[in-house]
Amino acid sequence: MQDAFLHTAMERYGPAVYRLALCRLQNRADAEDVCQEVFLRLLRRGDPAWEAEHLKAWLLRTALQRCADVKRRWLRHPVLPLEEIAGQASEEDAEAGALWEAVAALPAPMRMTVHLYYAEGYRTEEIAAMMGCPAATVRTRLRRAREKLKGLLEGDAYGESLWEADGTCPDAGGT
Amino acid sequence: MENRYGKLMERVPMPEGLEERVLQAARREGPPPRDFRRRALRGAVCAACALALVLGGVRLGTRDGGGAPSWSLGLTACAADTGASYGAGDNAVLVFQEDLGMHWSAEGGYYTASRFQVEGDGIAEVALTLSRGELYRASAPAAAADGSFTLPVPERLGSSVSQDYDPEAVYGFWVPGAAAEDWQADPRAASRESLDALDGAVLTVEAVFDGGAVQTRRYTLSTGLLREETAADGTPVLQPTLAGDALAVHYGVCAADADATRLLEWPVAGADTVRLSAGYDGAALHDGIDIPAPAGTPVLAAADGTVAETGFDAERGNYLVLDHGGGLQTVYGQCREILVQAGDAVSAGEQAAVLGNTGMSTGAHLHFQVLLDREPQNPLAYFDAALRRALQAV
Repeated sequence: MQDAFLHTAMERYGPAVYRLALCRLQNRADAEDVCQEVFLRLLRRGDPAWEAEHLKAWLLRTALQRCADVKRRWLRHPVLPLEEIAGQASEEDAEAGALWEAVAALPAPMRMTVHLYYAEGYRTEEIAAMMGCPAATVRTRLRRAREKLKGLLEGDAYGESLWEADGTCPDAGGT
Repeated sequence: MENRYGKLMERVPMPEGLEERVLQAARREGPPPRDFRRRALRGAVCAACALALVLGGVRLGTRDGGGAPSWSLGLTACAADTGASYGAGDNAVLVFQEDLGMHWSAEGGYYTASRFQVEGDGIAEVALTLSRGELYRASAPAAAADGSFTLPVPERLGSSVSQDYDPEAVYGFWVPGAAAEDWQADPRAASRESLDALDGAVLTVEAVFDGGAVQTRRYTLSTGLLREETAADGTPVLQPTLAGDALAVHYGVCAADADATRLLEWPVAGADTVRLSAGYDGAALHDGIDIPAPAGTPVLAAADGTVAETGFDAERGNYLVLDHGGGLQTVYGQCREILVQAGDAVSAGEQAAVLGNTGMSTGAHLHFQVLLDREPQNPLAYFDAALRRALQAV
């Protein structure tokens, strides 16, 4: 029963936890450790009959906290090359690689905000609850992150329409 | 919609073998806490939102001085779902989490998930008295052949009971008058509302030790919002918190040991909003709280004591440390001006500084921190329930 529970949870949410840790830590071994720790913690709590979304949010919040602990040992980190983690190459790789590197260069709070917003599709209010900060802060981080990324990607051919075209960017300050 | 980052991340798979690695680690660790929820009792009501509980903290125990025999008596909170027990947290406050989904209403009453065990050495008999509501004794779950568990109806004990000591005995609070229809509409709200009947109640625990010595402990109960934090050793710890706290997702009972809990007065008259120190990965209450108020507002001593230290540093600005004895200290930072000097005696409610905006600060506020033996504590655990209710996190 324990194996089945873990298997189901990891199958459904393992990739999300792993990607978040990877984006934050930029190190595969550390990301795997965090993943293991997060799911073991879930197991220690038994099988609280959570709604799926609640469970996922709990896992990601726990992952953020675990990452913060790991991070204390790593003040500076090299960016992890995308080809090492994303499997086979595709023709968009140069473009994607530049984007990944630009995101990796953001300060951690911004990076986590961008990741949760764009990769996991959380709303700013949900991200605020997960990170324990006001929603306005999340929106400010997103706006500043977009400005920074634009700056980082400017000049190369990939910068022009990173996210501006998606129309889903939250307005700073609007609730 | 063009979300190139999202697409990029979708291409990142979980490494092969990671799942197997976690499964193996889990097997090494042994089975998870037993899941009693499989076959809930008749009338069982499960709150939809329930994070599993854990509390950490210091073991309660008596602090007998001198050469008296070391009888010990204390309570531990007992997680309703896993049965794990936890000692008191900051300021000798024991926290019970209610929204575990392991409570139910039956027989016109509500068996709360707030449960405890009596622990101690050499106890022969315990007498429990609750000033409001009643107590029940939880029964051990019965295992069926198919691995599922059923939970027999607990034994109601009334408001006062005396029993032979059983270290395994788990007691819980029972609240009268839970209407079944409320529970069908919104079990979570009904559970909180029922639990609030315990607010202000006093639990008295009396232990008769082998040889006849008697020891009594009194606990004042309060109900309210809880937030979950992670202790240094990684265990989650529940903390009392305020309305408006984004991390206040739990509800439960706090039991303050009347002899060991120390209460502070509010340091900024007129200010009723609080910013809980907001780090971005899990704000920690132990870093202290910020109390915004206009610059120039008096900063009041939170308790009687002496001035241990005054000074300035880049982070805290003008700051003041008061010593209240017994290892308890309060720190006041970001002040415009300090009005006392090291060695001065101050009494509770006396103005000791002027609120300001010095140090690493963006806007006038008081940074307030509580230390016990130099270890940062959750300041909110040092304010009584009525004061906590008058405050709002922003």
